[in-house]
Amino acid sequence: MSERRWNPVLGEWVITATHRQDRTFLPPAESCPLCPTRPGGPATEISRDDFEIAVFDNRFPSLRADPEPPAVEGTELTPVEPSFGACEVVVYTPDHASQLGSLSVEHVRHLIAVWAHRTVVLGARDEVAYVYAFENRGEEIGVTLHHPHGQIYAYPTIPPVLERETENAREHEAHAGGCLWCDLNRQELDDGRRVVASGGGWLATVPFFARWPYEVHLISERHVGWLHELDRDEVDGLARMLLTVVRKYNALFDRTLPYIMAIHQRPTDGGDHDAYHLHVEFYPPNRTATKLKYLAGSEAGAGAFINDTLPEETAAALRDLPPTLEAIP
Amino acid sequence: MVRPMTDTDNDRREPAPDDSDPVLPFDDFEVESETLPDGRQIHFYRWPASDPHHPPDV
Repeated sequence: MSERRWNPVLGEWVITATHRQDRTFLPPAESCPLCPTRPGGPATEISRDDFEIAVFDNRFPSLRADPEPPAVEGTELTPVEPSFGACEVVVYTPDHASQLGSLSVEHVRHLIAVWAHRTVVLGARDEVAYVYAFENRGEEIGVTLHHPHGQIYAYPTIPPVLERETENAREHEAHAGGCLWCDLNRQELDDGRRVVASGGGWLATVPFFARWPYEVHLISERHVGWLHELDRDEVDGLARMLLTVVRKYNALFDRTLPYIMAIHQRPTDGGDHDAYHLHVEFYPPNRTATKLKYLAGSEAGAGAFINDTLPEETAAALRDLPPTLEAIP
Repeated sequence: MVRPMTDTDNDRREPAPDDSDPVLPFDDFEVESETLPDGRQIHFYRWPASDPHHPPDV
């Protein structure tokens, strides 16, 4: 059962998806549903014995093209809607033991092409207002399958964080006369203290206003809104920058660092979102090798993040770690 | 602020971007789609010009 319930207090939709309670939970490697179906082996979600990158409809979707009617009736104050949209799984590679950071530059370029193409395909649906590609990595984030993969959610309305970003981008453009992220890029390059890496048409920084100790944002130097607007050099630059950041993360505490990777593109609702600027955000939960930052009273109850670190110091730590962008082969 | 979507919203909507004419600067891939036994779709992306087995760099 899945539906969207309106919260008039916060002005946002909440998705209920009770069937997800039954989803596959940390199966052993030999029972991984994202591995290829090997000859003579058990059938998995992947119907072939080999592939480069595969995308399929999530077996346990929160949003779908043909949702069931809501389980309850809404009211004028608290309306309820079927959960229109889509939830897809992007399997990065057949190699169960791999991860984003160990893929080749060429493979990551291909992955970017898949994210771009799925955005174009899903964004063209009438019921889709926003296409969000993301990756959850690590059990600390709540990952239930270890095979390297990400997800794509296609929402029927612009999600709250993206709505705030689009509104702030529009307001900044109206008052400052330019793009919010282009201005942030200029400020960070001029200052330099929070820069983690730069080159290939991209800038990676721990933002001035980081919520998480090792949060990193990747912002394109050119003002574009969608992945499919990047040129070949910028796609290559993004692939190298993604690998640079993830490999630095893995070097930080000499372990595979968990993170959320969020790809923020323009909405696909047909509205005027020219002020919005493509970027990728990483949120690792670790504040030390063994200690996590939790969303506690201030963050969860008041929406006010408290960062226990200085972005200037965490950026310097990441900047000094290998590899450099130029070292990515 | 987001708000409940109405039929009028859909009527105003102009699909963008449009998958009928994708402007992909890196469109050297092929997509093969299949329908799984339970009706779900799966899409296999491949790049004929590249080695299908990419050795990891690290």
